[in-house]
Amino acid sequence: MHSYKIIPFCVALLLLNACATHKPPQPGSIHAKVEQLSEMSYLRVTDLRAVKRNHLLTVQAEINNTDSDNQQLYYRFKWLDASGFTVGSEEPWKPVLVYAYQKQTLTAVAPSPQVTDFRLVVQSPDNTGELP
Amino acid sequence: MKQLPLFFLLSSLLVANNSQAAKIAVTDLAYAERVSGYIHLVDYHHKSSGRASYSERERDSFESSSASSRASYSGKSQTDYTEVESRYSYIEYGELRKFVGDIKGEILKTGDFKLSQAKPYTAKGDEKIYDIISRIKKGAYPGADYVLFGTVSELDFRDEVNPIIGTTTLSNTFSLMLVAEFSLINTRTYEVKAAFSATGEGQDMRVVTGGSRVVPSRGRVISEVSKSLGIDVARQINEQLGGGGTYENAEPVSGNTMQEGQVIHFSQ
Repeated sequence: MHSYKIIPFCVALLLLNACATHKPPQPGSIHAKVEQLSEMSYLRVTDLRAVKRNHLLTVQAEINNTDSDNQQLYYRFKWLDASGFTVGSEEPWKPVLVYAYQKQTLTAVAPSPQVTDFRLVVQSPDNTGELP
Repeated sequence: MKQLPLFFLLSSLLVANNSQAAKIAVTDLAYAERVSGYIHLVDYHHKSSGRASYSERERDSFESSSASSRASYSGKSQTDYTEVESRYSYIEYGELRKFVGDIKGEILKTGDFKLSQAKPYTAKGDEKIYDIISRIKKGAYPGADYVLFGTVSELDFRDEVNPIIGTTTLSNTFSLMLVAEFSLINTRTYEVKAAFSATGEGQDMRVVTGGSRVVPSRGRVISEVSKSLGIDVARQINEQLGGGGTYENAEPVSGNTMQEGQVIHFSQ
């Protein structure tokens, strides 16, 4: 009898826990613009800013390596128009070596003036967890 | 049953209201442009002629001998040089037969007005083009309650090439900005019901690498200018005459939410 009463309570607790761990990213936050392929262990996007120059969106991201070893990062940008559609073809992955305890700046310019939004897609070989 | 007469009354009122919509005639955009020229004419003629002769005579006999020679040269040279330099400047008046199509379209979309066709100003341009009262009196706007009189303030073409920072590519921007002043004038009382300046902007931007050459699409730019000018004009008329909220472009065009040079800093 008691076990039947406990089950819904446990389910509610699990749901609450799931909500707490997978909060939707706040609009205007770095998390809303960065797509990580799994969780990176040592690399963090610590600063992200965008500006429109000559009608083209220019993005600058700062990657921080918190490890005492050099870390390899692969990144690419996804460019989106006002309707949320991707602009241009998919970019190739670009490799960057981030030295130990150092910050590396990535800069990219949108390929077209139609671009109004972007996503920075990053992955590192030392990602924690499983790659999708 | 009682609702039926009310329905007829309302529908007749609506029909009457629609038929009473004010008629607007939209003029082509009048412009005045200073035309300047420079003439530099150089006329140079040079003619020369020369004649040379030489004769030699020699006589030799048993008793004596003599020799004589004669040379002569005559020459004539004539040079004519004329140089004329002049600058001229005059103001050309006329009407720009473009950009008003979308203004008419957007005014119709507001739903508050009807349109009537204006007669084009075809006389040889002088300042009379700005004498809108005289043109109204001459019957250039038949059936119109109001005339939307527009004059070009500035028409600015720009062709810019800028390096894109961090890349080896260049952005080639061809843009046009048109600023025009408008007055909405009552054809009977000459009262100005609305006055404003409106802007139309258009651009064609291409990303180029060094050495490649692009030809901008002028048609696309003109089309964008015309459309944005039309929306701006209708929006300001709607705003100044306190039109209803039915006009879809009543708010200023937000377009791209990010302004040029504005930095967006994303938080952690």
